[in-house]
Amino acid sequence: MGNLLDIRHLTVVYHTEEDEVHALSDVSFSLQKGETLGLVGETGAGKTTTALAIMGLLPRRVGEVQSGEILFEGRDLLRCSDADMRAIRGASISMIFQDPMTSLNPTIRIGDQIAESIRQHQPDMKRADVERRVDEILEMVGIPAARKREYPHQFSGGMKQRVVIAIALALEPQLLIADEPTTALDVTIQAQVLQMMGDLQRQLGTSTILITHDLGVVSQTCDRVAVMYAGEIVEVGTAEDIFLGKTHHPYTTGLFGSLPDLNRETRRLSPIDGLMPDPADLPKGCRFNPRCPHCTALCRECEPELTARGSHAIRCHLMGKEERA
Amino acid sequence: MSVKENSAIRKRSQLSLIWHRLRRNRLAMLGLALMSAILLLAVFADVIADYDTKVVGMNMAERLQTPSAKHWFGTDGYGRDVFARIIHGSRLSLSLSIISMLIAVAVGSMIGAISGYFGGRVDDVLMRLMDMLLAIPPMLMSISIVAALGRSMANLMLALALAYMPVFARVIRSSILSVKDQEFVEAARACGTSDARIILRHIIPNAVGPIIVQATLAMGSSILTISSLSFMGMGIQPPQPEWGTMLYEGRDLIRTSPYLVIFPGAAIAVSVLSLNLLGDGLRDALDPRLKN
Amino acid sequence: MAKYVLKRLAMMILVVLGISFIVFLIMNLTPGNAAQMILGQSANPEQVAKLEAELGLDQPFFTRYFNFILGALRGDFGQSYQTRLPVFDEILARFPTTLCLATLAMMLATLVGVPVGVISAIRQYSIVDNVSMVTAMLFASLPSFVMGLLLQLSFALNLKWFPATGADSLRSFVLPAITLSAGTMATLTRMTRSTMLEVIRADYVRTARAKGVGERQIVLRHCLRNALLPIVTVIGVDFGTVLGGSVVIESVFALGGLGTLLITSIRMKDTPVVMAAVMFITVTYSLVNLAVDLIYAFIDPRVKSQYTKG
Repeated sequence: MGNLLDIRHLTVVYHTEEDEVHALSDVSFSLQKGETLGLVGETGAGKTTTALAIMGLLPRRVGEVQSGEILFEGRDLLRCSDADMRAIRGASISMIFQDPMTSLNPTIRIGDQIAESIRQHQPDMKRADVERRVDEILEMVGIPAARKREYPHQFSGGMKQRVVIAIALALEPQLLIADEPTTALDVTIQAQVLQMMGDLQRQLGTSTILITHDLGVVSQTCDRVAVMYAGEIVEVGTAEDIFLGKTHHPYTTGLFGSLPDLNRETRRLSPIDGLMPDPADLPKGCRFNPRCPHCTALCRECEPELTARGSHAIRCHLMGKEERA
Repeated sequence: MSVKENSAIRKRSQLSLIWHRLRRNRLAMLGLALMSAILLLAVFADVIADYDTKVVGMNMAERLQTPSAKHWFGTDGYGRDVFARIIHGSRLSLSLSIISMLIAVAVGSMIGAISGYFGGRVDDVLMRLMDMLLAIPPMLMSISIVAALGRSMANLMLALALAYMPVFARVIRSSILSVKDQEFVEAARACGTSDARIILRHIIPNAVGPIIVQATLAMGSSILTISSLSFMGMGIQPPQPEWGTMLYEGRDLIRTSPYLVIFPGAAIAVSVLSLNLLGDGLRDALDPRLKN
Repeated sequence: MAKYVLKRLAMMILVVLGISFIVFLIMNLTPGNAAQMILGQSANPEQVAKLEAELGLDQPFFTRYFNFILGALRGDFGQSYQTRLPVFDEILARFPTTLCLATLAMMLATLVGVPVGVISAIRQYSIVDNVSMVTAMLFASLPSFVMGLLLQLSFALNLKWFPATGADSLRSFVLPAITLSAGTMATLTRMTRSTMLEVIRADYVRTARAKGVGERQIVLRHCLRNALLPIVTVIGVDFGTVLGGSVVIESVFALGGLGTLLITSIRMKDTPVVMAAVMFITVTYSLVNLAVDLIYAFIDPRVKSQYTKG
């Protein structure tokens, strides 16, 4: 199988001073080489936690992986030593964070911040070669190499995000995790940055997990999509399954209902009623049941399983019934 | 803790949430307990020991006795009971520091509020003035004022108030700047509320937290300043039982009767410590982000 | 950069002028007649008036202030009421002792406080962290002169390792410097720890971790420099506390610096000496803060580039 990444039954808990928060429950998905997976959901659904768990960067003492496996090229990252994880981070797996304004160290020249990543993983590389690689990668993300001696505060938000992308791609990683890479940017810049990321990814053959709540971005860039809700994956499938398929998890349907559709003449958007449940105080049964328009007695009692039909899997009692019927 | 209890906590008011966080902080509770004990001792000082006979009345027959069952902390060079003097001394330290902090908070808040709310030239002038006051170390400022105006309790309080006032002006100013442009203030202004009312009703309540924290910590540091001044003979004068004054009197006897230095010193340290612990705890309770 | 230095210098001069006015004002609030005080109760009104004219005390307040500033600029702070000697010479003779004590104390506080604070932050909630935080809390709460008396009792009077009083050699400065540094060391440790904790959680540190950078490099390269900015500011502010505290500590160890001079002059109502001593200490403090601002600009590229371009 060509799976680069296999996440199996990942469960993560945050221990805060007041509560125990169930951030991820039994999350499983996989990613093939060269593929782009969109991870979609509201704020707090567990998207970033998933990313941090893969990177081994869950907040120390607070975040705890209770069970599960994260297999990267067949190796369980959760069992790697700190030193092994450091060797993987930045070289084989890179991450781009949401806010470019705060993601760069204000006191270090941007060229040095890119070079640091290269030197970290290729300590034997000659100084001149490192510099050449920095120039090359900067040009790739559309920044003149001459600007490498400048500090982050001399760059605009969009340019900073390009620097962050340059750092992430400096060592041509197999896996890139992009956590809402364009949310903090202006709409016009968003398109540019996404375009550039897509080009680079194809050029370098990088697999990508794109975390976003922007379904428009997903439809343009992703091969497969996983929809998360309250720490669970509620629906996963190919982009066609999600965008063109007939059956959906009611939450996914709700997400699409919240989008303005230019082709149809609807007067109003139909947002999902209610709020996502408090992750420290989850409802019994299906986690979506308090907001679900099709909720049944069964939904309030038993948690549904993720049921697959071909490439498309949905976590809902209704779907199971339909199939059996 | 069960899930139900937790959601109940979340629904309670901000104030009880802060109290809840403070109660879970063991060091802060220790500080609160110590401070309450000291306050009680100060209030009931007359019940515990008579001022005239034990605190200022000399008894040369019993001079320089080491700590015993009769005199817990021993007696000083004039035969006065050190324990009784320390208990009565808490009245002086606490009342002086509380009153001077109240003055400093009141005046400082006013200046800070005016400065932050009106901004522009007013802000520039007032803040430069505060900068100048802050550029004189508090100890030196207090010494200068007491030196110029003479040694009296009123002057000591004035000196402390003046030395700490700029700190409060700054705290208030910065909290005002942070809430000034928020929507609820804009809304109030749009409703035609007067400037004074906006400051009093909408802005000051938001700055109360940081002020209480600063006042608690400044109270501790003012107790240190009072005792330091007294120790140099520039604060409270003998025979009053101020802790620094007791140390001043005891320092010449330190080789033979070290307890004359140790007990008053410990009294100062415990009061300041309790205020510092409480102040720290309050800060964490008000802004839990800072802790973890 | 030169522009920045000039701007800071101009600001400092303004602040120092302001301070001098405040101090002059406070000193002139003294009730009673200075000339009468010098001559004693027995002096007759003619003698008092003559001395007042001699000292310029009969002139209006602003004229006196103006004369004071003009004199101070030439290094002339008037005569001591007590000794009739030039104040400036007396101050200059005493100043090195105070400066030496304050500098030693500040160095000690920084060299211990900052590293301990950094380690406490990195090992948050460890034994090292807990012990140093409790110690810092105790140091911050103990009055410096009590600590001084106790150190004097144990290490000078009982063990005789160091001289108890006087400023004859560097050994005499050991106990006073330790005493004076304790409180500042405590605040600096606590401040360093909380700043480091904040920086460790910064997004750019997470970025560095995501690059695979090791913990050592994260602390040294990414955290320390950013944490240094607020720490340097606090060091500047603390220097003022140390200078103020040295007045007290000098009197405990009879060091005979500016502080001792200040206290005796206050007792003797020797206003010119008090004025000059207070001015000297505050100007030193302002100079230290100027230096801090310049260091700040050197560490933080954001401040630097603001001025190199314009």
